Amino acid sequence: MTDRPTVWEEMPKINRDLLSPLQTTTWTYYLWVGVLSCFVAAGAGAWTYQIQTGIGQTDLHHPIFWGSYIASFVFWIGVSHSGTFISGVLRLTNAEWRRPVTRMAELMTVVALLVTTLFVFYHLGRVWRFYYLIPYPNQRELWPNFRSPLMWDATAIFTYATASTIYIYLPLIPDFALARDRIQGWRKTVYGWLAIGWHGSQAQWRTLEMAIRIITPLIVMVMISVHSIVGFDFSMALVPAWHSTIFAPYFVVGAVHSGLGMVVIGLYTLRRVYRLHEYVRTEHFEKLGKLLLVTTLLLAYMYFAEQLTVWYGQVPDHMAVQNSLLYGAYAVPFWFMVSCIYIIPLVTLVWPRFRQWPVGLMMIGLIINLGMYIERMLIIVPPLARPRLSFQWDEYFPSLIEFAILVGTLALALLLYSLAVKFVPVISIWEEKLGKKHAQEH
Amino acid sequence: MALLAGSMAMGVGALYSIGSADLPVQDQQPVRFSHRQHAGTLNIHCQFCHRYATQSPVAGVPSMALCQTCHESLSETTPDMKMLRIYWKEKRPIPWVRLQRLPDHVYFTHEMHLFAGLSCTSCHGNVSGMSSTPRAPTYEMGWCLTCHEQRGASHDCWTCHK
Amino acid sequence: MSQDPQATEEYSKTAASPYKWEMVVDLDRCSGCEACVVACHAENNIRISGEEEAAEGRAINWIRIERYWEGDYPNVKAKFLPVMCQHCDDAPCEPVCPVYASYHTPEGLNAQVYNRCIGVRYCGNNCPYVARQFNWFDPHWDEPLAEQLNPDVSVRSGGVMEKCTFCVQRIRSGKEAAHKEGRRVRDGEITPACVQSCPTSALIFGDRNDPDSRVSHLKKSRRGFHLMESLGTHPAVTYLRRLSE
Repeated sequence: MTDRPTVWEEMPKINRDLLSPLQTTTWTYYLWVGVLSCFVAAGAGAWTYQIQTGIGQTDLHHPIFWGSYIASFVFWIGVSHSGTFISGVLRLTNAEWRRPVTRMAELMTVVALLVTTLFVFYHLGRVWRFYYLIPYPNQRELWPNFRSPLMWDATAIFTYATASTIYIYLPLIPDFALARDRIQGWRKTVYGWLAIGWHGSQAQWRTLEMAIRIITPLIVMVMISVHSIVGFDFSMALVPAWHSTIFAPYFVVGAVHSGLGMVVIGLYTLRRVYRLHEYVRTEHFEKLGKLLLVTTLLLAYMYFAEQLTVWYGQVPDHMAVQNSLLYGAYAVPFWFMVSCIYIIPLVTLVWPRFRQWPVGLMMIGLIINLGMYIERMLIIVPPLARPRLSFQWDEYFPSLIEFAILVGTLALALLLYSLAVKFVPVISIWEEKLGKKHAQEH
Repeated sequence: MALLAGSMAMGVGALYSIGSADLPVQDQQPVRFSHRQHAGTLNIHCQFCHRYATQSPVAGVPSMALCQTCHESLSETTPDMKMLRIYWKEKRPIPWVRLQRLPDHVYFTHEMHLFAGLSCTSCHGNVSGMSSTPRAPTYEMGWCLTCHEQRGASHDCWTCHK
Repeated sequence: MSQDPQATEEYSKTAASPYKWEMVVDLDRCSGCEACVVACHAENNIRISGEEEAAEGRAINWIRIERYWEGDYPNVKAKFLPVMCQHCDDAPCEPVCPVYASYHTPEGLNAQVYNRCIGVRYCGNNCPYVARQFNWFDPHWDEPLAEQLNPDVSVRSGGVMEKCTFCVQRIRSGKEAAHKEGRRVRDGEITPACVQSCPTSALIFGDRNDPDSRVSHLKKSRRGFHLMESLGTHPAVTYLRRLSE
């Protein structure tokens, strides 16, 4: 225990480093926020136009009733799984290396969930009647239909959003208290409210740790249920190639796959922008790379099992869909998707040297997310485009308005995240300190 | 604080009533017809004037000719009776303001409601006591359903929605 | 006609209403003239889509004639299949609607309440017959076409799902007339627009709870079948196979 004082000497430096994004802002940040705001405004304009003129501004048509909005909905829910999976599962398993990763991943969850909800509204034909979906006493004496998987979905997402807000808030309390003590001006008051009287007593720490220990397993279960239910939205339908038992677990793994990819991108970017090299080390990228390899294999295994079953069965309804993917109208995006989410990650991530290369991992994260987005589209569109009555077959490609809304929403997600980075420390300060202390003791 | 709350309430209230047809100003009829006089004092049966109620979805607004069957032989004692005479002479219909209107997605028929034994006052109130007819209280779905429930009438959506 | 015991049981279970509406489509009689399609458009205020929207796949038809080619040139035969909402007894479109806009009436009709619909379009996906049609834009009628709108049928706004109702407005007025006279609806008293306009009488409509109605007899025909019977949707539309196979 001779080197014990050095740990304590490090603490002010940690405080300084991790609070600095909250205290100093460069002109590039303002430029970045300005550019994003322009994109968001364009997206909002496109949405307004769509509401005014009709949902026909999309390329959706009979019989393809669902398209890019639902695909994006599924995709963003997937991204939201990053936070919970990384921080929840790693907290449960007591993985020490989680410490610098959890906060930025949890932040991703909250932002992604907000964005996800938007897609439900983009999609509705009469969005001004959205309140029909809410169960509340009304003069019409009508309730929503809880037999509909969409209502299960709404319930699950509401639960998930509430739970993950609590989940990110709890470990934030000590950090808010720190910010309250270090930052002056009006923000001091805000942090003061948010810190709800935290002063770091033994009793408070015990309560906090207990609360985190209770909510962690709960949120992991909610996370699994949420994406299972998103899978149910499809598998409960009679549509050929949707009506499959593998959808729930496949969606969960797929969500974690893209979520992990997003965490790698976020980790890389934040480390670079805020020079967090001391906290986010190559070791973290390597561990995330291993996790990505696991999800790649797991997802590929499930996908193969599903497609092989369909192919061997040769049921005409299902084969119409599979043929359109393998060598039909959707062959190009299909094979592009297969290389993005299975082949490229697999051949790169198996190399230990590659996993220690942060830039490479960041690129793999990008490729996986691009691939997963296409994968969501391919889950939704081809089965709808190949209904059982072949007279009705058709194709679909998103319209310009749809692209404007999608890009605007992506910009909104980045904007929200960028703003959040200026408000909460991207690395959990007290957990980082605790990690340092543990490392010393062992 | 109270000022803020007050102005907010006013703002919300203004927003709420914009475009609503329920403003009392809009309910001013071109001729001040009194149901109290006709249905009350004179005790004329509702269906003498609203003659299609038992045979069709709409009850019908009486034609000028129907008004004239009585008013022909009456002297013009009030300004409104004079107005009626002018409309008649100029062969113009009276532009009555419609007070009871159901949305396009509702199927309602006076015929079947009267056939089921309901009286006019069940839904329209005691009109024979009103000198100027106000807009009916509410024709919202919950209001209809309550009565359907009490009388054991159909709850099927397609009974009333088309 | 296969006698599905489960289906028969289902019918008796929901026999609370005196009527069960059924349509029979005799494929041997259908000449593919599409008079039914035109009559349906006129009766039900179906929006006029125009060439451009039709090319986008957005033309709305509550009943359509699907045309399939059989054989190789020069011995090609066109086969026609009129498809409308099958009013399934176990309709896949009903449970998935989050707001109960799609539901089952006691008379076995698969109903769509337009003013309740918010346009999530799940029902459209889940209909194996692709019978459900969506209003991508607000409807528009050039003058003087707007003058011929049927007052007994709502005009659907944009963002709403719609489909064949078996001309519920005609059923309704037929039932009201019968109710006032204190009797049941007679067979043939109610005819949906498509049935009324079919020049070859390929379409027959009636009450299957009435054992003497024409549909009750035709349903039992050896030529009878349902579209995609294997899905277990128990449609209320029975097709009669062609004789000249």
